Amino acid sequence: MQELIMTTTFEPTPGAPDGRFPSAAFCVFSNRFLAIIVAVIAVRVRRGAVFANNVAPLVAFAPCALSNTMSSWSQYASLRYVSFPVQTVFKSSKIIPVMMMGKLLKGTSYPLGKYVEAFFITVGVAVFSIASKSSDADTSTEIIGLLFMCMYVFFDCFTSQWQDKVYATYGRANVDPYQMMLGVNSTAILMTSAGLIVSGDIPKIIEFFHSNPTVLQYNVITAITSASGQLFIYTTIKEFGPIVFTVIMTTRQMISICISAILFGHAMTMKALAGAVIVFGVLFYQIRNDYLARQNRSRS
Amino acid sequence: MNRRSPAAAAAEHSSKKNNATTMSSEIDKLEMQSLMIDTKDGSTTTIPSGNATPTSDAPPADFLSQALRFLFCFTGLQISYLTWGYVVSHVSLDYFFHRDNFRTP
Repeated sequence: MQELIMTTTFEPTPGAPDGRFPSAAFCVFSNRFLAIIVAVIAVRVRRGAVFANNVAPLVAFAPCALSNTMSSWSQYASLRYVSFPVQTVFKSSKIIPVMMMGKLLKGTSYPLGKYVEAFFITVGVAVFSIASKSSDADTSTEIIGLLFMCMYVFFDCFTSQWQDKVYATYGRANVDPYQMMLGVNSTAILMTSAGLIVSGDIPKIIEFFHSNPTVLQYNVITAITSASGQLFIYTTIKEFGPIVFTVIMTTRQMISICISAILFGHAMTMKALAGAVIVFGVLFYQIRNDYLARQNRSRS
Repeated sequence: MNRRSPAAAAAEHSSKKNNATTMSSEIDKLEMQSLMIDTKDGSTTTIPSGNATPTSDAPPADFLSQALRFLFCFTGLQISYLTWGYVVSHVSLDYFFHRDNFRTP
């Protein structure tokens, strides 16, 4: 089955001679489009009206829509210029920047201990990822690539902290994840549409769909998973805040590798194991502290 | 519903006795509005009265229910991203990543 899908290539068209889908922007556009449809329906059902009952104005979501677009753009732009280990280190080091962004945007101050814990999680994830993934034919790292990576981390941290700020400013009870989804995607789709028109991709896309009608189904699948992913992002940020969200996103792959290693009895290298022990140790320590603090609070 | 001033409402109250219940409910509403306090950023918060149930702004300190909600969010993110990654990397939809740079574990 997997072999079958992996060998799927599409009919080449003049606009896309290699049989590959010609436009990245269009995929982003279709993701945004479906997200808006889902959000419009959900907001209509839950709030009775699509825009009328929103406490937070549409403009409130514009900064994070912009930073979201910028972060994915700089991530893709960096891929050509950054080696795999450097990519991994940057991707796993987002927790501390998110904390700093929280201080900058919302004035939240975290105790030094939290920074130390974040540092250990970062180191653990980085060690684990580098140890457990192979990298063949690596690209060399250039300065411009590091610059793109820094941009990616900056905009990514801004996005999640800004979303939390919107929840905090307008009241967590007043803004639900569907409204967040609607607000962010409505603004973002304007930028994507502008990009599509400027790049002149539209005729190529129409031509490609004309000779490959089946590609649409993959587009729909990615759009669905992207929409459900977004909903969980907004729910997690609302319920647990941007730091917990970032911890989930950075440890996500590590946890799924560990689970599959346990389930299927795959061997793990000592380095990877050490990384996992550090991360799970710190996470367990944090949960334990949180639990004890809650118990103390309810007792007094 | 149209909003009336307390004075006008009181005047009408004396003349129309059969409307007394609707009147008092409107006066109640006017009194309730004083309980809404404008915060600096323009959003309104209500002062909780005796039997009011806490809103989601202050989640109850139930460790287990929060752990379950966390597990729900975590699993949701995992499933969404795994499916998304699978489709993007294994189907020839290379438009997101340059394939030579994108590896799945």
